[in-house]
Amino acid sequence: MTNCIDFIAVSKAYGALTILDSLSLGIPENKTTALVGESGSGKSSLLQLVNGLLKADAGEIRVLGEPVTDDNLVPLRRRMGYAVQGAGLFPHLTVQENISLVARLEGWDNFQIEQREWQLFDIMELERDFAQRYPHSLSGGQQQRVSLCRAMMLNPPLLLLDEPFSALDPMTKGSIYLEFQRLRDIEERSILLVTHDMQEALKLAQHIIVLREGAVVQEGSVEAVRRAPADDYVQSLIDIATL
Amino acid sequence: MKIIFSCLLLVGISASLFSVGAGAETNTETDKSKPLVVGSKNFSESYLLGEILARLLEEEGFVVEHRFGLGGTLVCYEALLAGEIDLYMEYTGTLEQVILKGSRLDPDIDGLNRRVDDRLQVLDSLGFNNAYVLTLKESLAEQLGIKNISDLVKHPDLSFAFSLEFMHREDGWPGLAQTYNLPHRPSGIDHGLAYQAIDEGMIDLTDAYSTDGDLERYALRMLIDDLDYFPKYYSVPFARRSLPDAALAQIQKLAGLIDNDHMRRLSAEVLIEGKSFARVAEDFLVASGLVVEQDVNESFWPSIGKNTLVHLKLTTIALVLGVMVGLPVGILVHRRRNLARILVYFAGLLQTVPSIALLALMIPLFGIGEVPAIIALFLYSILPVLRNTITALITIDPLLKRVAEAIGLTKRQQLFHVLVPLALPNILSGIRIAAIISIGTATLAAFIGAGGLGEPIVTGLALNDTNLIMQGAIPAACLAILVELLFEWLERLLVKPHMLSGMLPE
Repeated sequence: MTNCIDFIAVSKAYGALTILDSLSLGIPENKTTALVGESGSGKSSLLQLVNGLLKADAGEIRVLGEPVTDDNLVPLRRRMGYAVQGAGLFPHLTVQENISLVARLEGWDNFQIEQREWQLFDIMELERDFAQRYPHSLSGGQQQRVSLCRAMMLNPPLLLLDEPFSALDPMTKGSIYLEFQRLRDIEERSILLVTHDMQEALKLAQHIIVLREGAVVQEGSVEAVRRAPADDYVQSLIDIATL
Repeated sequence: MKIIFSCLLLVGISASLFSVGAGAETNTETDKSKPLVVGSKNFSESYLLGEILARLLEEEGFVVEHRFGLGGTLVCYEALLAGEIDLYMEYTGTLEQVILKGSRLDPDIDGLNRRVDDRLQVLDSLGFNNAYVLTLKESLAEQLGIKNISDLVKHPDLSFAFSLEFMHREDGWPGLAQTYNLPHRPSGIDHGLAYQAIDEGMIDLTDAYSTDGDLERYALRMLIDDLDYFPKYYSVPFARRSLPDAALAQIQKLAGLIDNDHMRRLSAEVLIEGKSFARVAEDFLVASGLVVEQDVNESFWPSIGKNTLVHLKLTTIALVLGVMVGLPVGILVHRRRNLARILVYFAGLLQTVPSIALLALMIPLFGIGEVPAIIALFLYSILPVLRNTITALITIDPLLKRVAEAIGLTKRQQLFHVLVPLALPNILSGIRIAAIISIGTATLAAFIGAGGLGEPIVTGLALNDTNLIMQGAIPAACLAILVELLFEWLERLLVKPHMLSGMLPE
């Protein structure tokens, strides 16, 4: 089994605060991996190290077979879709412009863009007349669907998700989970989902990594983690999730 | 408003002391096609004498340019030193006290000539002594029995208001109060406003020049300087040594020709009879047999339209330059917090230099006229543009910045596709502020001979002519409103309405 992401002895600190201390781990290819941890566990920093928003103090990070350096950052990022909590849609651009911004810069023509866009709209169950609207006129759930479309536009081999569902209400969450699962199953790719919610991880992921204070507590398939939690901490996370 | 003007003027004058000399020229050849530039200060006697000088030189066949209404002694002096003007009318007392920093009460011409810059020369006096006098209403003076300045000691409750220059000059109020032991606490007032204020009984006493036509107009009594405190201010042409001999000879014809009464009458013709400076100058020169009568162009004041166009030109060029510098610099430095902060502080520092001071500081470097005015306005317009650009860029939602980076935009693409469009409303309002500031400040450009809507304002202040002031003030206000409308339209054109929410009251 090959990995889409490899951390090799990676350290990261903010001043005196150590986030990751010589962490090594691998994220398997073509699977949905959930990185679960509480706030402060270092999970968000870890994700931002993957797409170069943060720089590691020491160690090596390899993504999609390449080391992450300043030189290859832009092309590498275009191979990593990115969606975050709050959606982060650009308010001055229409939904369509948001989704197609990078594709246009990549030289896609209108036909290609529209084809891909409608494909994604269908998967995410977005109405087509949203395309010409501005993000502020959409609900939080709709905005998050659009942001997933934006992340998927270039059909990237890797998708990075930073708590994209956390701010949504339970109803919205339920339906967006379904669409996410469809997305996951229609197009094969590696997905790294960062979440504090073990229930979400168990529902959406195939592989789980539990992170606590910058260290991996447990790593394994969903079944393995559910069946045999590594310690009381993981056990408690699962207890809460399956309540 | 007028008081603020004068106040700024004073600071400007002191600021221009930083001056540096310009290159000397010793050409005395008579080349009449090369224009001679006659300057004047911004009060009516100086305008009138400037007209007389100019007309006299024209009679001899010289091409003459007018640079009238320059903002005070040091602006004129710097302009003369820099060769921006060739001559203007000065006073011996002013030369002694303000320019040479001396303390002689009655300096002689030879003595002055030995001490002035060797590129300049003081010519023979026209004859009158335009000294400071203290003045109050004839009726009040009669009632209180005040004739001499020393009588004022007995009336400590009289309200004094002096021009700011008089309040602070060595030979003005400080020395006067000491010499006569006066207990009064004067306030500052614009000289042009003082007469009106005294006429309406708002103040009792003010400083004046002994040849002011207004003294007749308002029936004011001049108090006798019984302790002989005030220095003498004989009117003298002050010129560059490079002035052609033929021009020099023309000017010398004026020596001893005008005494105090005569000067006051000439001033009154402008102030009371409402004649133009050019008309009075022409009549005087014809009567003196110095020129052959010509038609006088009575429309002395250039049309409002021309002034507005000049004003628009000054502000537009300055604004475009300000945007061309402020916007890119703001974009370049916004990621470097400390550099951005230093630049904003520096631009803010420029902003705190009073406009007239900045204009005065421009003279040694760029002379007088449109160029220094544009440079000064340009410096003023940088701050609002720079500050708003930087602030707009650094206050963009950090999530959007992070996303712009994470989805694989290059730095340049982040700027043009995300950051600048998001910052645009704020950037535009910075440019709008700069434009409005420019329009207001440009009215001061008349003090350094740049023309524009300040010209009628400055002349109107000198003549205490409200109509004339309005000819500058109203178009300037209209311009400001137009600019507001233009920017509202631009905003609507460039910015989506939902991006303006909370920014513009609709």
